Amino acid sequence: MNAAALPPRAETLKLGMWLFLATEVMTFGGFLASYIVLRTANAASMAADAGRLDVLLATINTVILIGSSLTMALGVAAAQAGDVRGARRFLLATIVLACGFLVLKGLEYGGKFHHGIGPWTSIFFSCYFTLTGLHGVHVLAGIVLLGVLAARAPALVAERSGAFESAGLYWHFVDVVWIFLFPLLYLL
Amino acid sequence: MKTKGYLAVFGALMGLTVLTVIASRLHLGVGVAVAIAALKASLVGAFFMHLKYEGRFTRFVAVFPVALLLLLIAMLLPDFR
Repeated sequence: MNAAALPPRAETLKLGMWLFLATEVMTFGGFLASYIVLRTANAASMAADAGRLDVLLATINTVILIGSSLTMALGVAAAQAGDVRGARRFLLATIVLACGFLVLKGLEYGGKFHHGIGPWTSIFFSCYFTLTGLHGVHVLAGIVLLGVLAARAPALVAERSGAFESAGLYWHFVDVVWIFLFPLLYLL
Repeated sequence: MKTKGYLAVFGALMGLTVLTVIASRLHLGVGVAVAIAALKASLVGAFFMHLKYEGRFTRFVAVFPVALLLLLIAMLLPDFR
């Protein structure tokens, strides 16, 4: 857990990831700001549409994604302790949870399409599909990243590369984005 | 930080998730929802992302874009109220 214990290259990688996440904040932030402005300007119709979302599915997905952040944090801790097997096991758990999140998201989208609801339906659903879609793509990219990490775990753990820490930062960021999307889209 | 600590943070995040759903049922509004989300994000940032243990510069790089985003939203909102 002691950040100072990592080699300088690993610290550089982590700082690079933080800078990348700064650009991500502004990317999501642009779309989020659009949603907030549009919602403020069209409060009644937006609230009516928001009421048609599946709160139960989204709540389960919130639990799943926060759970995946826990397994990711434990995986990073295992990697830092030099425990390749533990790191791999927690990475796989994280990947499984991430896949579960996407399956539920797919069911949610499927239900919407089944009822003829798509991004073209209204301003709210345009925002909904844009924000959750961009977030979903980030989850998908995370699955690929974590898969590569799991495959190369022995070398990455041995050279204390900072790869686990950096991938962890990305994954927790995706979790944080969802922590805001969940109440702003589903609960208001 | 030990496994126990991470589990405690996870427990707190679960509790806050339940709280935000209850707050929504009680129609407590956007302020409460955002406050709970901000608290959850802070917990993730401080403990899962290790910001509590990072140096000043890394913390600055993490927090500054959020401040810029808040500025962006604050500057946009008055036009549409």
